[in-house]
Amino acid sequence: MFRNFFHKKVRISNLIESNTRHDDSNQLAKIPHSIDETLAALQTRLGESKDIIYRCFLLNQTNIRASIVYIDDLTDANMINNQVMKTVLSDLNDPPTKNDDLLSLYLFKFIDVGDVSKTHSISEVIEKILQGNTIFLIDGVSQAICIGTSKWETRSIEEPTVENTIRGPKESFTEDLKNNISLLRRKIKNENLRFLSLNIGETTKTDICISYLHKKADPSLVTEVKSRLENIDMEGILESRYLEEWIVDHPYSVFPQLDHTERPDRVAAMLMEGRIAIFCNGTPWVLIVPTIFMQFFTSPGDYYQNFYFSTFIRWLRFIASMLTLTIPAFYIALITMHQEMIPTQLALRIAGSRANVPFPAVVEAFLMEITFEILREAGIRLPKAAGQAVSIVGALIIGQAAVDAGIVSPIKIIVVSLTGICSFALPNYSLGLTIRLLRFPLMILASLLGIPGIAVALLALLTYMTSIKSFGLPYLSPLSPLTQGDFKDTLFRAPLFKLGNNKSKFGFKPKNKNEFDIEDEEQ
Amino acid sequence: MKKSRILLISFILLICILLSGCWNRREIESLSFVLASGIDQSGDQFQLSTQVVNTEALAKNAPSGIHSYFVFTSKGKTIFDAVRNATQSAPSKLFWSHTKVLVLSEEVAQKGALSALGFFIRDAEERRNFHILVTPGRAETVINADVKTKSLPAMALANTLESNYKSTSQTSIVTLNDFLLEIHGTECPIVPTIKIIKTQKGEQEYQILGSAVFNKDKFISYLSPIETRGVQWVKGKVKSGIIVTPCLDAGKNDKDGKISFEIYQEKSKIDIKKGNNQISIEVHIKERGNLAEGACIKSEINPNTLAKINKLKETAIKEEIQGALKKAYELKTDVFGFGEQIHRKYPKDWKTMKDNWSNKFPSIPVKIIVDSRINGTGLIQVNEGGKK
Amino acid sequence: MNLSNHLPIISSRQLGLILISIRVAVMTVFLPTAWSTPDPKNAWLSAILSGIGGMIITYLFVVLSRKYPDQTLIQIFETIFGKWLGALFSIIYLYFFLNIASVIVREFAEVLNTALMPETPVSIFIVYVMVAVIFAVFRGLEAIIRTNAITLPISLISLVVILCLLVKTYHPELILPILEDGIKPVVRGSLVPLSLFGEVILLPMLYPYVQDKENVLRYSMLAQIISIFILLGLILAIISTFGAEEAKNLTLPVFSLVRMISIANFFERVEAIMVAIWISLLYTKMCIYLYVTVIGTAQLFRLKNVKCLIFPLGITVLILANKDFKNLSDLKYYTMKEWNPISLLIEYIIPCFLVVVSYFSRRKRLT
Repeated sequence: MFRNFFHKKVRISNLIESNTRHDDSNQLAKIPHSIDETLAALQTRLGESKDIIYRCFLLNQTNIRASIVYIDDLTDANMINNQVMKTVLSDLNDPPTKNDDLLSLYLFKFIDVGDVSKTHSISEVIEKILQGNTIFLIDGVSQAICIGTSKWETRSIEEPTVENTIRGPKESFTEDLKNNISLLRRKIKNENLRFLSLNIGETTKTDICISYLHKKADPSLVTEVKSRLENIDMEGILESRYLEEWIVDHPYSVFPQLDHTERPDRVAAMLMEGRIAIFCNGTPWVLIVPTIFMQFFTSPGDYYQNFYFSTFIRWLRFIASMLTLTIPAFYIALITMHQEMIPTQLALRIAGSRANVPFPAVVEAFLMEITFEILREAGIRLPKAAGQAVSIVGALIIGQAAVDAGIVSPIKIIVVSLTGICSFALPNYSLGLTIRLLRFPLMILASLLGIPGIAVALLALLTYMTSIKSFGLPYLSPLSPLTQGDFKDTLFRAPLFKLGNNKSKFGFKPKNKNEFDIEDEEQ
Repeated sequence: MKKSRILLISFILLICILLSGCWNRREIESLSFVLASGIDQSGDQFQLSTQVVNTEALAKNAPSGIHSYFVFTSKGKTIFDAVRNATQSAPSKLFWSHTKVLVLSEEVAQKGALSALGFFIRDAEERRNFHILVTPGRAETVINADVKTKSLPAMALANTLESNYKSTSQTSIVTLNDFLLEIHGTECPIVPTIKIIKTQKGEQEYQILGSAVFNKDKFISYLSPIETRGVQWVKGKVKSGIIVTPCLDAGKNDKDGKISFEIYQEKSKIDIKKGNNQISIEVHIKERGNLAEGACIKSEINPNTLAKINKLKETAIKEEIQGALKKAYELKTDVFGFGEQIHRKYPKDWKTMKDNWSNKFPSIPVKIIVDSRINGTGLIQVNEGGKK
Repeated sequence: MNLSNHLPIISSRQLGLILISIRVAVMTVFLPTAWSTPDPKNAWLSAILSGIGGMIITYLFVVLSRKYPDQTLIQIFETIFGKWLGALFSIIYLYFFLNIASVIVREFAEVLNTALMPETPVSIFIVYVMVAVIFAVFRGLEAIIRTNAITLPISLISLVVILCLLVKTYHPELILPILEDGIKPVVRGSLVPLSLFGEVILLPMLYPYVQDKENVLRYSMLAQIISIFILLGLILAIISTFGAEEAKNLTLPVFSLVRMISIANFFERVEAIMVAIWISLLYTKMCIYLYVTVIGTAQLFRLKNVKCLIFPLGITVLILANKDFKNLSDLKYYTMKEWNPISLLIEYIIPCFLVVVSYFSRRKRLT
C-alpha cells in the first residue's frame, strides 16, 4: 500500500524535475564563441573558489588565446604540467592557424592523454571539472576538450572491518569507486562483466555503478534496477543506504531488503549467481540486488571452510536470531502468566531468585534490556579501546551490582546477556538491528497476552515477511514458495562441487495472471 | 492508504484496550506453589492440608534456618470450597500446577475417592500425572511430617515412591490418570500406602508399604508388600526387586541360609481361553533375573544347579501370585484386570458376566505359568564355599 | 517490466498444505470423533470411514473444478444456475464461510481462555487475533498460503514428535474390543468428522489460482490421506492414554494429552508447543476463510476493489464471534452437533447435485 503511494509520488516529482532540468540545459546549452564569455560564464557558475585554476595562455606560440580550467586538488599536477601544458605551450614547427579545425587537431593529434573527449555544453563542462577533468578551451571554438586528469588521495585497501572471516581474502572495498571496480575486475576476468554508470544526487552528483554479469543476470532486472535508481530524487547520496531506502520495494518495512557487503569476493560470488551489485562512490558498502531473507544468514566465510561446519553454523545463526527475538518475550510470558509451563524445579529456582526483587518481571525486563542497548550504543560511540572497556565494565559491574543489591534477579541477567550474545551471532548487522528492535513490541505483547500474544504476533510477522518481495523475488524465497534446489545453499551449505554452476536459481517466475486478486489490484 | 490508517488506528485502540488491564498477570515469586496436598475427613467436611513452598527460602542469600515450606490447613464442604478457604491463612491463591503428590486418608477413600478428586480432574491448572497415595492415618500428618530431606518433603516423597517402586516393585505407582483409567473399567486400582514412622531418635520418616485396594473409587482393604507384587506380576508392572528363598539343598530349618535373587520382569500376558462355554485364564510370566546372594550354595555352579536354583525362584514367584489371587478372591475385587481382558477378547460373553463380575470372578480358574531364567551369577563364577 | 508487480499464484502443493491445515486445526482442538460417536472405542474406525467419504467428495470437487478451471465456486453457481438462483446459492455459501470463520475465531479465543488464561476475557483474544487476520488478508492470498507452507510442516512435525514422546503412556489394549456394538454406532460416529473432511470445499474456491492444475488431484488426495492419518494418530493416542470413557469427557483431549508428557522429570510441561500449534493452525484457517469470503463476495457483486470488503467483513466476523456462544462446551456442542447436518448438506449434498447438473448441462450444450 505504502509502496504504491510512494512510487506514484516519485514518478510525478521526477517528471517535473526532468522538465526543469531540460529547460536549464537549453538556456545554457552552448559554449559561447568567445573565450572570455566562456570563462565568465564558468566563473559565475563555479563562483570564487580558491581551488579552481583558470590558466590562460597563447596556443603554441600563436596568437590564439586558449585556457585550461581544472580543480587543483582533484587533478594530477604531474600530468597537467608534463603532458597537457607541454603540449599546448611547446613550439611547433607547423603552428596551427585560426582557420584550422583547432578542436579536432588538438583532440586527435596533439594532446597525449588517453581519456579525452569533447563537449559543447557549459553544464557538462562544469560537471567534468568537478569530476577532476581538465577543460581545454580555445578562443573562437564553441566546444571544449575534456582531458581526464583526475587523481586524488584514496585510502589504501585494507582488511574488512565488519565482515571478518578466518580464512579467505583479506581485502575490502574502499571509498573510491574506481578502486572498487578494479578490485572486482581483478576477481572476474570476463568479457561479460558489465558496469553501468549513473550520476545521482542533485547536489552531490554521486557516481553510481550497476554491475552485473551479462547473460547471467536477468536483463529485465537490470533495467528495473536502473529505472529505480534513475527515479531517485534526492539532494545528496552519501552512502549506499541512501539508495537502498529509495529503491527497495517496501520502504516502510523494518526488514533489511538489500544485502550489503564490503568484500569483493562476496560481490563476485553474488554476480555469478546472476545478481546485480550497486556500487556507490564514497562508501565501501556495495548493495546486492535482489536479496532474500536467507541471505542474511550466510557469510562469505561459509564457503571457505568445511561444509558440515558451515551448515551447522548456519543453523546456529537461525537459532540465535530466533532466540534474540523471542527469549525476552518468552521469559516475561512464562514467569508472569504461564508458570505452569516451567518444569517444577526450574520454576522454584526462578521463584527463589526473584524472591526479593522489588520490580514486577515486566519492568525488570524492560529495565535490563534497555540498559543493555544503551551499553551497546555507548560502546560504539566511544573510541575503540575505551568502548570495549565500557561495555565490559558496564555489563559485568552493573549486572553484578544490580543482582547483589537485589534489584534484578540473576535469571534476568542471564536472559539479557543471552539475548545480547545471540544478536552478535548474525553475520548481517542490519538484520540484527531489526531483530533487536522487534523484540520490544514482542515483550509488550507478551506482558499483556502471554504466549498467545507472542505467537499471533510472530505469525503476523511471518505473514508480512512472506508477502514482501525484493525486486520481484519473494523475500522468504527458498522456504516459501518452496524451491527445493535452493536449500543447498540456504539452510545447508552443500559441498561446492554439488552446488555446481547453478548455485542458486532463486525464486520462480509467474506464468499466468488472475482476474481477482487483492495484491495487484491497486497497481 | 485509508485502510492502512484504519489498521493503525485499530491497532492503537487494541493496545489501549489491552493496557487497561492485565488479567492473568501474577508474579512468579508471589505464587503459593502447592507441591503436596492431603485430604482428610472432618465431620461431614473435607479438610485440606497443603504443603506450600516458601520461595524466600530458595533465594540465594536467604537467612539460614528459615523453613522451606509451610503447611496450610482449611476446611470446606467440597474440595474447591476448602481450596478457596485456604486463602484465609495462605498469603496468596494456591497454585496447583506443580502438585506432585496427593494423599488421601483412609476415611476419605472409603467414602469414595472421586468426590475428593473431582476438583483435580476438572481444574485447568491441574495435571493428571501426580501421584495418589493412601494413608491409614490422617493425611495431615503425612503432609506435616518433618522428614530428613535434601529438598522439599513433597519432592522427597515423590522420589522415594518412585525409587521404592523401581527397586522393590512391592508398591504401585498410580497417577490421577491411571486411577481414572482403571475405575472406568472393572479393574480395581491399587494405590500405594504411606505411613509416617518415628525413628529411634524421634525423627519422622516416610514409609511406603504395600498398597490399598479400591473397588471402583471406594477403598476396601490393604495389600501387603508381597501381595502387591503378586498383583504387579500379573499386570506386568514389576520393574525390579529382590526375592529371597531358602537355600538350595537346605532342609526346612532356616539356619542353612538364604539365597536372594534380583528379578527383572520382561513381560506378562493374560490369555483368556474358552472351552466348553467355560472361560479360563492363563497368566504367562516371563522373568529374567540374576543370582545376587548365595553364600550358602555348597555345590559348584553349573547348568544343573542353576536349573535347580531357578526352580526355587519360579516357585517363589508363583507363590507370590497365588497369595495375591487368594487375597483378591477374599476381597472379591478384580485387581488384575481379568474382566477387561475378557471384555476385549470375548465381548459377547462379557455382557452376560459384567453385572455380577465381582461374585463371578473367584470362580474362574486361573493357571499361572512362569518362565523364569537366571541370566547372571554376578562376578563370582564358582562359589568359594562350594570349593571347600 | 516491473518485477514487483507479481501476481498471486499458488502451487497445487501449497493448496494441498492449506487443505491439511484447515482440517487438522479442528482436530487438534476438539478431536471430533472421540466426543461425538456413541462408540468411542471404535472412533478410529469412524475416522477411516469418514476419511473415505472425504476422498470421494475431494474427487468430485476436482472434477467440478476441472470443468470450470477459471471459475471459483461462486462463479460456477452463476454459470450453472443463472444470475438469480446462482446468487442465492452463492449467498448461502458465503454465509457458510463467514460462519466457519467466526466459529474458528471464537474457538481460538475460547480454547486459549479455557486452557491457558482463564481470567482474560474472550473478547480480548477475538479482537487481538482479528487484527492479525485482517492484516494477513490485506497482505493477500499468497502471503496466507506461504505462511501456512512454513508453519504447517513445523506444526505437523511437532505433533508427531509429541505423539512419539508419549509412547510410555499408551495402553494399546484399551482400543479393544473392535466393533463391540456392531457397525451402526461407527457409521453414526463418522458423520461429524465427515463434515470436517468436507471442508475441502475450499478447493473450488482456490482452484483458479493454482498454477499447475494438473497436479491438484494428486495433492488434494494426498492432503486428505495425511489428514486421515493425523486424525487416526490422535484418536488412537488419546483412547489408548485416557481410555474411551474418559476421552469422551475431555473438553480439549489433545491438550490434556500433551500435558501427560514427562520425560526425565525435566522435559515436561511442553503445552506451550501445543498452544503454538493451535494458534498457527487456527490462524491459517481464519485467514483463509475470511479471504475466501472476501473474494467470493467481490465476485458475487462484481466488485473491482476487493480490498474495501476486507474491513467490513472482518468486523462482521468479529461481531459474529463475540455473540452467540456461552462457553467452550456450548461451542463444542454447536460445532459438533448442531452445525453438523447443515455442513453436511452444504459440503456434500449440494456439491453432488451441482456435479450432476453440470454434467447434464454440458451434455445439452454438446448436443
